Amino acid sequence: MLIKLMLSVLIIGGCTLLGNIYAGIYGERVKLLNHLLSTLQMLETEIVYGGTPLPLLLPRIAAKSKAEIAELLIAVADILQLKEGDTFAEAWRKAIEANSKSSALHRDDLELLINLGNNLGTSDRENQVKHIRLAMEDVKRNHATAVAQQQKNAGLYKHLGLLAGITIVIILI
Amino acid sequence: MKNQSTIQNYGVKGGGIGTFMLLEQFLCPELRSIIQKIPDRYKLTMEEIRLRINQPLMIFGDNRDYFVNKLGEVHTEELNSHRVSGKNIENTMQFISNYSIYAVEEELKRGYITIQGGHRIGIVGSVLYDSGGIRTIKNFSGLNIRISREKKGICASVFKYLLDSRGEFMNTLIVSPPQCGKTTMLRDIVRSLSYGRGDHNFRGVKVGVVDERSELGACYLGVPQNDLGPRTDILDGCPKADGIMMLIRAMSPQVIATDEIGRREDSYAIEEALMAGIKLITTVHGNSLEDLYSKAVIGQLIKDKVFERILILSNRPEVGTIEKIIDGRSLINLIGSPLRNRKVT
Repeated sequence: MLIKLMLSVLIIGGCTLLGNIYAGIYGERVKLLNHLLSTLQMLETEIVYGGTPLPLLLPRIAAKSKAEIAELLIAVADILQLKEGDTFAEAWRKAIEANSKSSALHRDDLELLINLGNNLGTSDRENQVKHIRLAMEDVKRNHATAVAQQQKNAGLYKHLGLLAGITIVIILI
Repeated sequence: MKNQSTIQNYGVKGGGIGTFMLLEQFLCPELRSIIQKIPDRYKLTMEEIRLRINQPLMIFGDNRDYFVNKLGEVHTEELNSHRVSGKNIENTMQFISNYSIYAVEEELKRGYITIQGGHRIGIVGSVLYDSGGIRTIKNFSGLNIRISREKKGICASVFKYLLDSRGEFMNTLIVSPPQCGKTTMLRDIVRSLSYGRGDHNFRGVKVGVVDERSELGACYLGVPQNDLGPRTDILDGCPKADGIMMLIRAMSPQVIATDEIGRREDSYAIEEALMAGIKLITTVHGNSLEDLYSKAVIGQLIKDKVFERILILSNRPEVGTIEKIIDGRSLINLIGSPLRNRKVT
């Protein structure tokens, strides 16, 4: 009887955890988009006031950025460092594609980043600001959708996990 | 000559194939692979790589230009040459600007960018103009990659003519048509002044350089890419007249060196320098002394006998040949026949 009870608790606990992990993915995206927004803000400041070239600027803002965003920036800077003839847009796209599988960001988010990469560094400051602002608007929009999805789905998955656990236990008993 | 060789050894940059390999990194991959295949003997004398949109890829060296085909073969006639595409220029600009056009805005306004190694890249395209002057260049249509080579020691044969009987440096003017080695000669004289030359019993002096067009020191991110010696202070990108005044006030130079003097305000600054007892070395475009008399500022300075030595360079039989060394007071030529300027090693 004791063993049965312990196993039941274990199953319910495990399923709840699974549900929480699923729910967490939504939260992760919201967080990342938030980080991305502040990184883009830093990028704009560095370009407008510092005029720092991108290969020097990326590691600098990577140090102040969080998690996946920082990794992405470092990856781009590393590719540029090789001087193998990749343009900035190519290096940027390569780094994003390499990270895309493990990323909590959606395809939409990555597309808008790739789009930004096509324009980064190719024009004067004024124009750069326009492109970065545009990207920031897109990020904000995606952020809003991500929050809505999180509210809708995160709770659902959490409950689903718990209920699935209880269901399995009931069936087994 | 022993001292000569020690001067050579202070170099920060050689002129050989090594320089060239660094330069290749600034070309887009397609052009890079073509230029890499060019025979070494051309690479060693090459002065310019010209990219013009939808036109053949060309190089310039040894006083003439050549067409380059896809295999890196060099011809004097256009023969299956590689056509430079807009993409070639656009991508090359990425590497030249360090992937950041916005970071070279100021340079674009001047029409050229100095890159690591001291090479200069001239840029043309559509110019955006507004009330403040040239705003920027976009849609780049042509690049001129000028390969900078420090020819250390080329002033060895002329240096003794630049010293007076007490062994002090005299005000010097270097005159030559474009691409005859004016700036290169000036740079080497500055280096000699700054290091000093044991072979002429000349102790190094403090030299102030006003490098308006970043050609002498070729500063990249503030670091001179050319070796101008240990006693040299460089004002990079500074207008000459203002720069000369700044140096007089702040750096107590014994010699001031600038390139391409000729504007009205320059002569005022020069006067100021002469009054402070500072010696001067500068350059001017021109073919002969007669040419210069017609130029307002420089003509007057020559008539006033400000310059005690006038070097006239030409490119016959080769770049950097010293046609004449004229005594500025008596206007007598001090050398019998032109000095061929072989680099002394």
